[in-house]
Amino acid sequence: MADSTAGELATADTGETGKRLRSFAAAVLPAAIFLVALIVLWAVLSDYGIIPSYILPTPGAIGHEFTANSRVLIKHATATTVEALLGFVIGNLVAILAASLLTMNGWLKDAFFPFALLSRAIPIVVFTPVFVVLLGRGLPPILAIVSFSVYFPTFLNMMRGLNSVDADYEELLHTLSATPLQRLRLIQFPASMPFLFAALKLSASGAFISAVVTEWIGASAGLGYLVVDASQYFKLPTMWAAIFTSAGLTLLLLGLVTLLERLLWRWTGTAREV
Amino acid sequence: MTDATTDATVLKSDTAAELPRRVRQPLLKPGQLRKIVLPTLVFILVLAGWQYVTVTGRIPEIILSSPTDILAVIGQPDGFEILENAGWTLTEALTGFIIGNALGLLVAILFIHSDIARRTIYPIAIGATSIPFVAVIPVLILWLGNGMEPKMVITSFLSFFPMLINALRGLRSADSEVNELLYTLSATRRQRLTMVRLPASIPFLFAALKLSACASVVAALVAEWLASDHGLGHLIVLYGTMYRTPSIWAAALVGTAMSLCVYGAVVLAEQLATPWRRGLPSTSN
Repeated sequence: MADSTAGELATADTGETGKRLRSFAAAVLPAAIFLVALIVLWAVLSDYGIIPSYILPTPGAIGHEFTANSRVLIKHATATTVEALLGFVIGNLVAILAASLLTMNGWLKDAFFPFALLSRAIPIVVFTPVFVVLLGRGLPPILAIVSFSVYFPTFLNMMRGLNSVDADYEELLHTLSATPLQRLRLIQFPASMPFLFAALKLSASGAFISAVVTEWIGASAGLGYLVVDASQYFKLPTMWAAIFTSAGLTLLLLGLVTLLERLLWRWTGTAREV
Repeated sequence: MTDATTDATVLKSDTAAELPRRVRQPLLKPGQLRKIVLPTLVFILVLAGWQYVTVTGRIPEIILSSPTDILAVIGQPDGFEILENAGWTLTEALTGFIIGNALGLLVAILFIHSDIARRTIYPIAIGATSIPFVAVIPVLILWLGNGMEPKMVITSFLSFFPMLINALRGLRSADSEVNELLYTLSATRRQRLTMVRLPASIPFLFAALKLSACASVVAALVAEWLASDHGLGHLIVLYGTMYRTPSIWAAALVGTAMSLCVYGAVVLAEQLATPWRRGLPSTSN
């Protein structure tokens, strides 16, 4: 009797994993097959010369670029990664700090929060030339732009998250006469985690996009610069290799943030989106 | 018995409706004054400080121009040039915006009936929204030249994927009971689409429109940095090389105002199109 239930449980378990595997395959396979088919089609069409190589180089040529020209690619990719990551960290830290301060002090909140709401709609990348004039070409203006573009979504989401605490908890901490700092640490930060990660995922790709675009006119290094430079000398494989590298780096950072969210599942809970 | 009680409640509610003599509310609640005065004060202080450091020459004029100088650009020939070129950029942005969103909706409608097609395209569309597509702008410029076309292509690309994702979600968001009802009435697919699915998807569609409204203006402007002889982006770079700092600021501010206006227009259209949702939190993507 006991044996049979154990056996049933075991089969139920394998059935469960099997089902999960199948649903995973069902979710990923069609898209993966489609993408592979697209690349094969591209390779075949350019092999037969239907797509001329001056319009789109063959996948092979772009792949060859990664090995043959790897030093250049790595140099520029490092520049872009440093800008994007530093900006990502600075922007998010300042955003979290600012949101905490504004949550703790009602006067500060009243004075500055309206601007935060307004500034969400300001396309900060447009101001790149202004920053270049202010700070000179190179890392400083790019870092400023990336940090700003990362800052706003995180700040707004943190404000929402810090204020999403269950009223019962607020009252409990009030009766325990907790200080604002204790309230922040014990209930407001934990409550804001899902909001924070929703913003982080948004700004992970935002950081790379702003870095690449500001490099067009603000720097002499980085993947954005490399793409423009290669296009002027008509070095198409280099150009495409740089584009794919920036896409790959973006997805990598996004993946890392998602992984961190999964690892911290106890606090991040079900993520709500911005 | 039951009649009596209902009568009583009706009576009660009638008198209650008559009773409230509108108690005069103070124009501002005590805390509200602070909420208006403080931000205004901060705004004035920042502007005054900015004006001070520039006018006194603590920061050279060529690096940071004073707010009054930026405002004065309106009256100068540069101001007219900026407005003229803003129209060019707006045309690119809106054309791409409309094409991209229309295509996104169309593809979603085509794919809604095929499960396999939907499952193929949905993950790709999701992935596509996090890839830095703007990095492809130099390629588009190589292909299509430095006219309006590459900018329209990139703005339609940027609008296409959010619309596709949201339309796929929205078209399937209709209440299943309503769908069943139409099934029992043996409605055709097209009737189901126009009567149930499209109306149900409207809030989702507007969420996508709001996402891509600002993005398309910015993308058009940024694309003009690289290769163009018209448009706000072209002007900004031109002024940058000539160090006409107040004009750079003015052009960037006009670009911001333009993207805000496009966003505002979408929000207004949403209010008009979905009166039943007024005051509700917007459907987040």
